[in-house]
Amino acid sequence: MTDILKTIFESVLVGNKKGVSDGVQQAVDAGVDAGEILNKGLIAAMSEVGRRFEEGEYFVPEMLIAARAMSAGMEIIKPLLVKAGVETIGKVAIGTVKGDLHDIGKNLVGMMMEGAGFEVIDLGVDVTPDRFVEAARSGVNIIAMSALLTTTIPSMEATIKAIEVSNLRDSVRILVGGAPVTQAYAEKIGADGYAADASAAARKALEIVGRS
Amino acid sequence: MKLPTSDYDKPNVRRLLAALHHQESDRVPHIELWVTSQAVYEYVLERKLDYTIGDAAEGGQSIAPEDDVEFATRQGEDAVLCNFNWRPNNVFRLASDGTRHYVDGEIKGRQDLGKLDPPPNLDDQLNYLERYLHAAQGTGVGVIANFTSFFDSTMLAIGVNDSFMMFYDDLPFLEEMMDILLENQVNTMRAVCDRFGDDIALVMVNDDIGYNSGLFIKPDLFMQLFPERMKRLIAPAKKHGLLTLMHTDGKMDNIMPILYDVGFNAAHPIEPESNDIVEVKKAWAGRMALIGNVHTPLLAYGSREEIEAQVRDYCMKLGPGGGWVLGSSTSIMDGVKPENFVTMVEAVHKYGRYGSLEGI
Ligand code: B12
Repeated sequence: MTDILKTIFESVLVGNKKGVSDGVQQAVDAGVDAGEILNKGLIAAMSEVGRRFEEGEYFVPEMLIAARAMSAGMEIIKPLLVKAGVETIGKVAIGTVKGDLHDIGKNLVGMMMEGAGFEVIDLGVDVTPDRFVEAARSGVNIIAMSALLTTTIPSMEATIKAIEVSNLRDSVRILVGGAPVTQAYAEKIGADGYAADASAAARKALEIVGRS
Repeated sequence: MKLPTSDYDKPNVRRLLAALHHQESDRVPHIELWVTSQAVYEYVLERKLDYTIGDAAEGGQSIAPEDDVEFATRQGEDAVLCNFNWRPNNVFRLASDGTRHYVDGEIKGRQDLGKLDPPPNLDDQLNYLERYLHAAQGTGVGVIANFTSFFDSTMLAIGVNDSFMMFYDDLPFLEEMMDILLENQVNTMRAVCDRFGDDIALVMVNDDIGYNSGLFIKPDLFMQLFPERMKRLIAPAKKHGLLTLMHTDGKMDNIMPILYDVGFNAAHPIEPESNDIVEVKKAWAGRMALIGNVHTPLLAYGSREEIEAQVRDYCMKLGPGGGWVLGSSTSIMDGVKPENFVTMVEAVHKYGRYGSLEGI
């Protein structure tokens, strides 16, 4: 890895936003390929962040500041990636289900997915089945639903049903998660995958699009 | 529900205190720290309330003290909570299902301290406690003084997402906020213990410091922020010889030793998503009492048989030796079927029997 990519990588790890944007700008100016900055700098760093989180070395604040720093770098290279025709590995629409306003976990999952190279559309919180259906219709590859409340988990099943009824079930894969959600529940409602944390969620998403 | 006839069905705060002292009494006690379902209250009270109950999580009180005590008396619940909340500058929003919930905090930095909501009036709070104590007199129902704290209240005042980043962006401000909240709550705690220390059953602090993976923040940073402040908060209660209970969500394996060292005697709710309460009891028997942890999905969607079986199993595994109080994890909220709540209560009256209260 070149020094500048290493700087970007390390700046993401410690959540140094300015370090990342300066580093990315410097790399762009020096003619480093945007795809390389993305893969070897930002994505590699977020994957390391995920590893550290899973190992109990990183906690929620470290994840959030790392993701914030990564986003600052993404801002700079996004237009370049689009111009160069670099395709993202997939599109994910993520949201917290109807009636539920918990968003920390959903944000982390979204950030880790972005960090894994996905284009992430954040539908926000309190997302109705209809809005998920709309997102499915717009051509995303993955619908990711988060729920933290006993009373809102059933909305996941309702959303899957709504997607089925709209004849879109075959065109999207569905991931579910959140503290009270389990693998067994995911299977029961016919989701394609479940993950217990943000880093595993990103891995699962990669698996689903055949990139793991 | 049926009115209590046998002693097993009646509330008795001594039963609760015995369990918290790791002793067996006549049966396993039961308390709920938060009931936010009007339907459950009205089902047990067998009458409509002529007001809408508030959500104590929003800083206010939930149900009128007299109604709360009657609710406890009817179902043999051994204590009720009187809240001493200061949760400033929380922003609420209506969810699409019509319920109102916290979404953000207004204090984004030192520049916003000028608009900090004032704490509730202390005299009003003490009068409210007096109303609780008066209503509870002669019923057997104990009154727990429950305090919000400095850690999660700070995060909520700032906004949970923003506050997580503030641990890195501006730790001194975060600590300043914690101290502002702490100072007020210590004074309130002192006033409560000075005036009503002999009348209340125990003291509780609620502060969410964790989630399913454990602590929210790095342990070394947490240790720098939490234990000394928390010791100050509960010092008046300890000085008065009162038992102390802490509520936090989350996985307890790393949290329990911290609570124990700070001086807490009991923990709630030992969430079933991330803890095996039977294992936790084994590890902490005789040192920390547990309150919990009937899973609310079971109470929302389970059958009568499933709920009974769960309570019975808990009574067998957690009851011996005391040190366990039945309760839900975490609150009786909308969505919990009133019949299911009553099934849980009746099951502990039936399966939780030890012997007698004599000698306690
Ligand atoms: C912080 C918190 C809040 C904050 C939320 C702030 C915010 N902006 O999100 C506030 C104070 C607002 C709040 C409000 C409420 N809360 Co709350 N809250 C929590 C708490 C303590 C932590 C949740 C959290 O943020 N964890 C940190 C993140 C990183 O973890 P996570 O969300 O689990 O996400 C991880 C995984 O689950 C997974 N994941 C998450 N989403 C997804 C999605 C996919 C697709 C995948 C694959 C993976 C995945 O990856 C994430 C990262 O690793 C939990 C306790 C707990 N044990 O979780 C209670 C908890 C979730 N809340 C609870 C309750 C009851 C409420 C309220 C109803 C309380 C009230 N009376 O107002 C309201 C509901 C508001 C609403 N309508 O949504 C209960 C739910 C009980 C239940 N089983 O129903 C819990 C479990 C607490 C408890 N024991 O009672 N809460």
